[in-house]
Amino acid sequence: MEKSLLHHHPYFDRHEKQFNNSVWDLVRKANDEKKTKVAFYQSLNYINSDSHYNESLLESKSLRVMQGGRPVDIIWDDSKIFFETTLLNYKDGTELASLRKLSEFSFFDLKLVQLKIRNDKIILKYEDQWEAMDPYKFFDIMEDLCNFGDFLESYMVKKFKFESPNQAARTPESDKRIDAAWSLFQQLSLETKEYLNDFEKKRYRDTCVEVFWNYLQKIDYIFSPRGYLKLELKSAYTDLNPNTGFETMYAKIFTNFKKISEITKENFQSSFYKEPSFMPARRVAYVERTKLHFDDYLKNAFQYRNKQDYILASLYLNTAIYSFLNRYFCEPELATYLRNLLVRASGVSWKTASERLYTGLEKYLINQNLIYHEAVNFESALNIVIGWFKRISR
Amino acid sequence: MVNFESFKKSVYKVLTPESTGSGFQLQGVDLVITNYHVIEGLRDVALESYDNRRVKAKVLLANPRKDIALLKLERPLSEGGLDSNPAVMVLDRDSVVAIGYPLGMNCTFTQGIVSNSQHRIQDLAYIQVDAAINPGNSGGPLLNQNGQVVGINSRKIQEAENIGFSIPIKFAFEDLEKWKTLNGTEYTVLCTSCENPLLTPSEHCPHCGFQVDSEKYFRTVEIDRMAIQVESLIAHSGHDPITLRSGKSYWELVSGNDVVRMFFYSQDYFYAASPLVQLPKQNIERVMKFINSEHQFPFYLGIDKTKIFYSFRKHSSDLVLEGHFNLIKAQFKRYIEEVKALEDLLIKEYDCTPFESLQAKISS
Repeated sequence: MEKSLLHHHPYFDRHEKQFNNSVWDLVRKANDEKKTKVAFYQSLNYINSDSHYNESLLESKSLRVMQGGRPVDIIWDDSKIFFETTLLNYKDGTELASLRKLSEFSFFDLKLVQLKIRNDKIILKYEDQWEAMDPYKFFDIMEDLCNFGDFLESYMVKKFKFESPNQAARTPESDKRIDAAWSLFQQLSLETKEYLNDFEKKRYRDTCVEVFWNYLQKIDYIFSPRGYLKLELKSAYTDLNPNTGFETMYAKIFTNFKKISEITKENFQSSFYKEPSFMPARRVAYVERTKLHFDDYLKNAFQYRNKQDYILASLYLNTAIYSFLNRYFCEPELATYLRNLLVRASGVSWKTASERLYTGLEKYLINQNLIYHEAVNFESALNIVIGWFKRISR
Repeated sequence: MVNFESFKKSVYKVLTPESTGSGFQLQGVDLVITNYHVIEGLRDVALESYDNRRVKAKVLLANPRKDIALLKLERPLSEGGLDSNPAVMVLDRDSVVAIGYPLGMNCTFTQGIVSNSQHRIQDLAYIQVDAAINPGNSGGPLLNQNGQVVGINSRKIQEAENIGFSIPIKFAFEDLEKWKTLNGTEYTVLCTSCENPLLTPSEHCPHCGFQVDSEKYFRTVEIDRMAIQVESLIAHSGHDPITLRSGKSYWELVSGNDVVRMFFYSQDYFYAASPLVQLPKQNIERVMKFINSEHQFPFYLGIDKTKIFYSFRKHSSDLVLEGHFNLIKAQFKRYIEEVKALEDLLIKEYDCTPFESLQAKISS
């Protein structure tokens, strides 16, 4: 385990459309002029760069858009607009725990959209006056319907064996592609397992935490799973909460790693389908956001490097880049630059990996005038000396 | 043996649009004593008794130098008051008890000793105590073992453990005397140099010529635009928004057996949520189906652990949209009116369990 973790290129494309920023001005202008219907179709164009709706859309009085293989219906008349999507099939005799979970989701997770049982269906719905259709509100409603809707549907299918009317309609990935992805997933899990075992034996407990973070971010980056695997990742991220106490968090790392790495091929396969998402789950990374994202990671990595802990410094920065790419859309030049850094830090000595990642990231931020190069202070110099001393004493 | 428990009747929570503090009444005095920094910039605040009754109070006298303020209640909250006199003293190592509403919680007693009975900060001698004084305790009384008020809890050193300061009660008696001579009903500030009364803003004190920061002492805090809109909703539903204020962007209505909390969630949403009842012990499925049915539209029903909540949710843009806001006001009024009826329905039709007390509902 003397070499750094391997980097893998994304296997499944995200199919996510970027926010169409140039359209946003049109949305704002229409809204300022109280032309809420115009703001509505321009908002649709903003969310999905492939769409080019115009005035003629308003005459049709309804629109169906696909979200992760699930239709979202938008219907309107002269005064009101209605949003609705069917999540699940419902039948009498449904397990009590599942009904309770739905009621909890209603209270905590949904913001404006309502979760309701209507006859034999569980739906998400929202309605409003046209005059109140503010673009920011529209955006929030779509997030509830689409992104949270996706999560909710998968959660209830997985946990409570609900049936979804949408699942059969989805186009699965080809067996060949799934086989190749499955093999890559196994390879990634095996590599992570070896590192976890090795660091656990050496009692490098903080390092084990970072290896597991890295594993989760990498799965997201390489496979962009939906449904089953996405939920497992989400749950594992939630468990990585230091507020629960290190021991609790540490124990869960191994349980969650086992759960994810030993996922059945059937469940793995059900996490992928071809339909493009309608509402992007990633955000645009503005310059300031990029700086905020990397600032703390760099500061902490700097401390690790001062202590000559190149393993933690590398893992830390590696995870920082994966999580950035998973969370944000960024300029293509920056995305390429970051990917190249990952490649250069893959399978080399930990020291080289940490050097390449740290100086690479720092250089980018300095070139973009996002940070100033700070002089080495007394504390950091002292840490270096202490580090030397510790090595000599060993 | 002094019954400290009975003292909480005379100690109130002071509620403002910015924060919460404490205040108290002395025997034979109909004014409430608190800290100036608790009510700074306000003319009207709300006071809440230990049993959650609220009234409005007017700020009458402000003494910024000694950090004392006197408030006049719209109507009495309790009878009697705490015992004290201007000559009451404490010595180092005397046992003391602080009473107040730290962090906006229920009435709380904390015990300690006098660490230094004459700790000078600038030109004033404070009582330094080791009793826990936290944000929200400000303005509450410090009592000796005989149950007499010896000080007004005022400040603590943030970075240190258990270093709190109380203003000796004799200063409050001096201000009460000054107030008697004024006998007015207008907001009055005491000069920060000579402590003579200033009724109107002026650059220099007419009594001593000291340069007065009138802008600061006579200013009134403006609540933000969104808070104004929320208070307009509250007023439309038939309640006085000032008495419902419970800190920054937070309002709490306790009316009869109803409890409704109003607040902003992540700045973008205005929520009102009311704990109605607890889930029934059996036949839960029926009530779950009811919660997830479409009956309550446009309001929301949901559960948190064993409690059923009824909520009203709006996007912040709804609160500032002219014309549309009237519809929101009407909806909010309907929501407030429906709270009681829905609670009754859940108890009668769905065997839900009422909360064992109003206090349990409030703390849920």
